[in-house]
Amino acid sequence: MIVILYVEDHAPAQLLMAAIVADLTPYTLISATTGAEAEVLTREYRPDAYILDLDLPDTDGITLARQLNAIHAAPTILVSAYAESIQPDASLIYAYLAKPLDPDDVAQTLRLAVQL
Amino acid sequence: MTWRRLFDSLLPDVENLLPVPVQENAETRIRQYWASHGWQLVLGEVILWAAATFQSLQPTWVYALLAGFIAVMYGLGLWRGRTALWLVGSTVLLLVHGMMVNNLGAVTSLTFIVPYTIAGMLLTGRRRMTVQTACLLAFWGSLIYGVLPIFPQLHPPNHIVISYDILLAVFTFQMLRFLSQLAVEINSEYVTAEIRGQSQHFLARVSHELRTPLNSVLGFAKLMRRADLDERHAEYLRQIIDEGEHLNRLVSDLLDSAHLATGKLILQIEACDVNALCISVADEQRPALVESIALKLNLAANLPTLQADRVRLRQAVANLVSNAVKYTERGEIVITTGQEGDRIRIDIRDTGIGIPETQQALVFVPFVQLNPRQIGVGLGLDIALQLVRLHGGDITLTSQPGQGSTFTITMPMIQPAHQTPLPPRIQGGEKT
Repeated sequence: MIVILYVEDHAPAQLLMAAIVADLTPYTLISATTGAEAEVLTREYRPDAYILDLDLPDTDGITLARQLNAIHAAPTILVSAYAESIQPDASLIYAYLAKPLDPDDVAQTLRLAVQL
Repeated sequence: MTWRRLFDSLLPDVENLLPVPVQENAETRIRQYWASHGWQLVLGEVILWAAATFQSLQPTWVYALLAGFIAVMYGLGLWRGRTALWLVGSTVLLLVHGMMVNNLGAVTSLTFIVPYTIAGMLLTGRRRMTVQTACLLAFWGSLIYGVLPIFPQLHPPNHIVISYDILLAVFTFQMLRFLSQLAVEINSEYVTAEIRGQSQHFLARVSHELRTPLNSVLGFAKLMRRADLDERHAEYLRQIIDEGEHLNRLVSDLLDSAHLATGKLILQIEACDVNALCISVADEQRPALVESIALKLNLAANLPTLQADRVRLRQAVANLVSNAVKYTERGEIVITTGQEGDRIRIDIRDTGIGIPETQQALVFVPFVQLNPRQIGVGLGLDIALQLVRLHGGDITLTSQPGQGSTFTITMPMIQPAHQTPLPPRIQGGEKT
């Protein structure tokens, strides 16, 4: 079973990602709302890929990417409604997706990331 | 020619002439003013000119009488308001000026200052503009008529003096045109600087807040496309998605504008086939065209590849083409590529409504839309210009009202290697 961890504090966005993953991919999505929660889930499930929102209540997506990859390394996709304003480290972030998300782009990026 | 038309001709293109925003009903207000008060101005001119020409009165006496007359009117409460107050002030000023040089210059200055400043006040409701105009006119008046007496042999006979008035008018107009052009440029810099300073944070925040719900709307709508919908409901869904995408483009424009203004936008430089880029822009725009417009490509063979951010350059070209589509009713839009030395040139020519010369500097100012009936927020051309400039290129405009416009992009072929590589850009909202 391939598990993907999505960290996002906005509930409708969580629902959308769950729908995209369920409708368009064979993977299992687990969701966290905060960075702390994400660390717990990472230790427990050791996800095959991370999708992290840039804006989180207790941290930011780039810091969290570093922390989660230190616990368990996996391809990390960054998601944000802040579009081009961020310039993440290419060695840390596998891909960057801008909101509004295109479901097909998300599915395709996930497929490529999981195959790494 | 009636005097009213004479005055109209003295104030050509007032909206283009003035560097400050013109009130919406300015033209109506001016016409009303001329209709009710114009005869006074004409009469004043005639008296002053006659007095000056025949010198039956010493010029200083004319000002003294005039200033006294207005002051009495003002004092008796027969004539109040800014106009009267200003007239008293300027007449006293000119009286002093007239006593100093004791010549005709001040009279002439006055005859021009009065109509122009009244027009300025009516147009803008601002005092600063009128003071500037007054100073400018007084300057020209004193220059011409104040310098002449120093060289008595150059002083013209009195009956020729009126021709100097005409000369003065021409000079003044040229000067006003020049200054207003300058002011438009300064103003556009000012507007841009203001956006840089204050609005960018706000824009980024608003864009984020707008995109968050758009993410759900567009995402769920797109997932629903896969459901087995009947044709009617599939059409409803298509409308939701199309309109959502449109809204998203507007938000992207706002954000791009904010990032460009603050230098936060970083290019991803790669090899870029300009011809292929123009073809893809044309293919994207064609479905939106009405039948009376032809979108043509005139692409140079063997065009070398360009070092540029493909997505951003395409965005600049697409903005210019979509601008041409907006303002062209019939005829053609032609995208031409070519090479000029070490630069690549892309021309976007249309047969649209064109842009008067005085407004050409305004088209690249953010949030300015020359045609208020058009949709959009007025950011497209500014974004295109900023994106091209970020590449070290430039956009120039040549246009004739009624004939159409040509926007020319020139791009250097090689980019300095200071850009940092980024992770692959796969974007939801923006077509790449």
